[in-house]
Amino acid sequence: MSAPAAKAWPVALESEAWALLARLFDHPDAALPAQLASGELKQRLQRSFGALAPELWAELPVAAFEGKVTREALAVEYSRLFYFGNRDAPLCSLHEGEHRGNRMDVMERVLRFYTHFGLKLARNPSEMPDHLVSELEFLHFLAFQQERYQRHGLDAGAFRRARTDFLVAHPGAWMRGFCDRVIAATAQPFHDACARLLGGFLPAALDAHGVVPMVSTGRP
Amino acid sequence: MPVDLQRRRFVLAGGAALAGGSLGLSLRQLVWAEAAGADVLPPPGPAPVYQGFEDLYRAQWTWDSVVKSTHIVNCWYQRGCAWDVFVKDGIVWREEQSGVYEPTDPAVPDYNPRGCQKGGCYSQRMYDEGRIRYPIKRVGARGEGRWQRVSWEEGLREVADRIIDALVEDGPGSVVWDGGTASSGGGHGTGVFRGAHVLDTPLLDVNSDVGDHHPGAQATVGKISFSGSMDDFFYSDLILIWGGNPVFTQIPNAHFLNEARYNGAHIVTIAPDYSASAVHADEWIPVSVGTDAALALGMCRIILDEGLEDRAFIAEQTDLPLLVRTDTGLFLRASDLEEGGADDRFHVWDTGSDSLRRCDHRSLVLDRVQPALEGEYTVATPGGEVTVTPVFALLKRHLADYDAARVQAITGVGARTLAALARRIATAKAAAMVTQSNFSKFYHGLEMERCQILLMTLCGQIGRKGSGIVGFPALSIAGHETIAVSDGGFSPQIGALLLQIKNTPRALQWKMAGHTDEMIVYELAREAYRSGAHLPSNLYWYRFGLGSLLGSSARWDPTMQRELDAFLQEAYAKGWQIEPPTSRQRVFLEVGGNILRRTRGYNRLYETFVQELDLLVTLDWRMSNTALHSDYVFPAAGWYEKDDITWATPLAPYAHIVSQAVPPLGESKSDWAFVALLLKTIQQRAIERGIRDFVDRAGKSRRLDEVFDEFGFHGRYDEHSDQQLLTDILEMTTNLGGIGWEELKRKGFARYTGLDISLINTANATDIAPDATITANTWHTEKKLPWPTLTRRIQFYIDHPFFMEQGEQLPTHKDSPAIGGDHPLRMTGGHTRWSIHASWRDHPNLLRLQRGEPTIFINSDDARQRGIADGDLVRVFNDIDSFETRAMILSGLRPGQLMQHHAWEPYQYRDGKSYAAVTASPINPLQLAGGYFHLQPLPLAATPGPSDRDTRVEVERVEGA
Repeated sequence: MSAPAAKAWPVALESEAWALLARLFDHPDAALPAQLASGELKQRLQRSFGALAPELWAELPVAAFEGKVTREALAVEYSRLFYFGNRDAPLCSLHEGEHRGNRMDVMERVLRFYTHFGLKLARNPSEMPDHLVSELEFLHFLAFQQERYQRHGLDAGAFRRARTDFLVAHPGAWMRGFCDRVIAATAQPFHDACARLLGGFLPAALDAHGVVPMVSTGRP
Repeated sequence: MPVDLQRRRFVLAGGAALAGGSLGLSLRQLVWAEAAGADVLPPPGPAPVYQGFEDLYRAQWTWDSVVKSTHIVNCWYQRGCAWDVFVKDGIVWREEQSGVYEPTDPAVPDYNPRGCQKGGCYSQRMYDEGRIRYPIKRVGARGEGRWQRVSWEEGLREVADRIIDALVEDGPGSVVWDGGTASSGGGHGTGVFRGAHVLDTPLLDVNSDVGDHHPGAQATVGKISFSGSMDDFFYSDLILIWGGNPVFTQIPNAHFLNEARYNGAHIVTIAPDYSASAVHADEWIPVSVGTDAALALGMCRIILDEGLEDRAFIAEQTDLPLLVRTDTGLFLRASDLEEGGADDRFHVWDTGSDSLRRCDHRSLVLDRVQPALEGEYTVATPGGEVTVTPVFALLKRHLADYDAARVQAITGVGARTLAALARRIATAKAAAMVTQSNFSKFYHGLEMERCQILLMTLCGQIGRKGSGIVGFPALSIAGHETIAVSDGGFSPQIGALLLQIKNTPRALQWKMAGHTDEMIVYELAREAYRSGAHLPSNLYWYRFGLGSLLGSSARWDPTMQRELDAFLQEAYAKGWQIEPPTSRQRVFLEVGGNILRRTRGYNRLYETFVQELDLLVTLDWRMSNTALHSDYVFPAAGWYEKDDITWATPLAPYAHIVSQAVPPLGESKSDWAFVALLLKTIQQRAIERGIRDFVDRAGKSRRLDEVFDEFGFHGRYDEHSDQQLLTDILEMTTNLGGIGWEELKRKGFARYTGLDISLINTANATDIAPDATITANTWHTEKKLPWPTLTRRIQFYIDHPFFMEQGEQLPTHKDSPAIGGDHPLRMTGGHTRWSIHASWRDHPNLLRLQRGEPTIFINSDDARQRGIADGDLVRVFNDIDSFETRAMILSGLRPGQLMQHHAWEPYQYRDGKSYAAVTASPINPLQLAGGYFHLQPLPLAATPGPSDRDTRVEVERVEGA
């Protein structure tokens, strides 16, 4: 499935990009409004995504990544989108298995990746392996490890290959559809911009990993 | 490069800058074992081998643990299944039935395996999107579905403050709990009961609320919670499935019925519809909806006409020989015969001595008395001579109205069928009934149950192996219940002893007066009930929101000469029923139930009761309709995420545990922890706010700033004490063979060894032997202990004023009133195969096995007449309200019958309204009776229930849908 990257990205930057995306889709905490208000978040995003995917960054409504917004407004919209916005279900599930069916099988496949590379699920917060944030954190981790091994002059191919395979088999297979749903469901500029960023970054990442992106509706 | 402070951050050794910026690792939901405890990473070792995804599968999949557990869900009749729960990396991946039940009686089939398709996919249910993982606070209008996640501390603080305000300003009666049907014998049940007790805040009595209160059993045998074991059916040669559908609702038990059939038992299903249980019967008797009492009475008449009754059994066990005054219609009492004579001593006419004999109220042994069953006798009283006659004679005259032709006209069952079944019951070696809690939900359900019991009693089919009537099956660990109410200044064990000492003088007094242990238990339970620990739910709803529906009885019931409210006020005035609080209702704590689904007329309840509340708080693991409309929702741990112990039934007489196989998902917590934290926060806030006391409902001052200390026995328990509590509970338990928590956790279950003295256990009135099936009520039939009724016998004649006013002294048939208005269809209900209440109602696995959305079943002819095709969206309506659902056409449904399987959440319906919107559920005045020994309110029974079955409706196709 994977091939040498056509336009390989600096691994450290890619690592940071996945971490930032994980951050964006985590539940809004007290620091987020401050980072938005100070412009710190936008700067950090620009440094990563502006470098890795400048065309995407140029198209994004990046104004949504700075300015005054209350934590409550962000948290309420987060709950509506990703927790219980549709009575007993979220409008847009953060879990891959809910998008692709056969949830337990999806969780097993994802968890096998994590375990193989020495990761476990945290106990606090106690979330599931197919959670969007968990998957993005895993990509972040693999890129980090690749860079770390390279810096020590060690073979880091396992991390690169795994990152590509994981990207294709998991985030690349469902997150674009998920982002489309978020964009359709939200009027909150921040969440809209986050979804546009992730949705646009995925094909760029697949391309950077030498994979021809496929259009995904979020369903197999 | 920390992006936020919550994330775990690591940097490379030396912190060297890289092109594009420094490199760091920031994880939150994942943990990197290699870096545990390190801020600066050491140089790496060899990288994991990874050429492709195949490498992920080279290591054999192994389980971290296989844990015994089950599900604390109220599947009731079928409850109690041992499961192996398979865990890896903190996740439950699957569960399998444990086939580990040892045979009891070698002559009968064993219990292996137990479980159903709901339990078999709970691991998936607990992780699906319906799972509540974090505390949330309402930020929009109630029910709008706009939430904000809050911390436990933040949420509990506001809830505690509101409770404190309510306690201080309006008293404890303004804060009410609903434990629902999810109560356990361990942390959940004990926590909720003790929390409510310490605060003196009442708990709703859910049993009569939902119609599981078996009013006919209560009126007839003075109790409701009795049944035999499922394997006892192997000794039956006739099994009546009458009032239930066990193939749907007793999946782990149904094999016993089939095995009994292989053993030669004849199975008869009596139901209006050709149910799944009818399919597996030898005979199906289709009976018109709501006419089961007439069917039973028709058979009773045939039995008496043909002399098939068991006269010895009747004379010994029932009130049928007792004498009734023909002038007043009241029993001849000792107080009629002598100054100062007791009101609860009764008489028979001894044909041997041709004289009046007073019945022994301490024993059913007749000695040499030969009670007359027929005839009239003259008795001298201080007021002059009176004529008396046995109840049996009155019954015989009464049954004259139930000739086969009339019964056929009422029930639709032909004379030959009726007679054949009557003879079969009368001549069976052992006839048993598989009933469930269906008839309790009919307006005249009390009569249906009375008539069923009468039929079986006339034939002596009670209290013999393989025979019996079935009440409310329940069996629980006993001996520890005092933990909920004992003084927190002592250990639970000493507290139990003190309570025992406190109760002993009264118990001895009752014992001296001839009470059995069973009766003494009920007396104590009634006392507690009167103190307001529990509230009869339908009386509570009557006062707070649903009076116009529950009190509409006289609008539909042509036999009532006065409004229900007149009956109710009389009952209150005479102390027959317990008045709910009069204070404004301010805080409602939903901790295991779902009032906005289960309550008939839930939508009106929402518009009235809920709107008046300061705070509606729900603890649940799924978004119920009540949670959806709450102000705060707290996440409960799933059933594989906490430790607890379940209650059981004699049908499967095993205590099971739920065991914490994995940590709670998200921020969810056990039910015990929730209550403990709530009490802890109340205490803390009381101290912070300088509020020392509140006045309880008895007018006494209580310390508010010590409620958690009292709750936790002054340091013995806190929010983390689930296991300590269960250890204590099992140390105090007397009917589980002395097994401790650790051993029980390893094994997963234990068979009950006895009943001990407990409200729900003792009513089974039987011994539990390790190597025998269980037959209920043998203490009465074999040991000749009196039944816990006014007459100390199975009592068919009730000379209570309300029964007499309604002309129902004897078991009778009354047509179901046209509740809902003059509409042609009769809506019935039942439990579904694909969910236990609402727990799996929205789970994709189970929805795939049915139509995926609420449906109502309609007879094919009825559908054709209305132009309704299968799958059409239809509107069901009556004078009360309407709802929209999909039609499913069944030719097996009786013409005129509309069947709605229960427990869909209202929000699953197209127009957001469920079938419960059209049910007025008026109270039958007989269920307000009290002041009559066995007709007095007590937990689970003898308070008014609902009447949603046989609601009249019409249905029409929704055009353009």
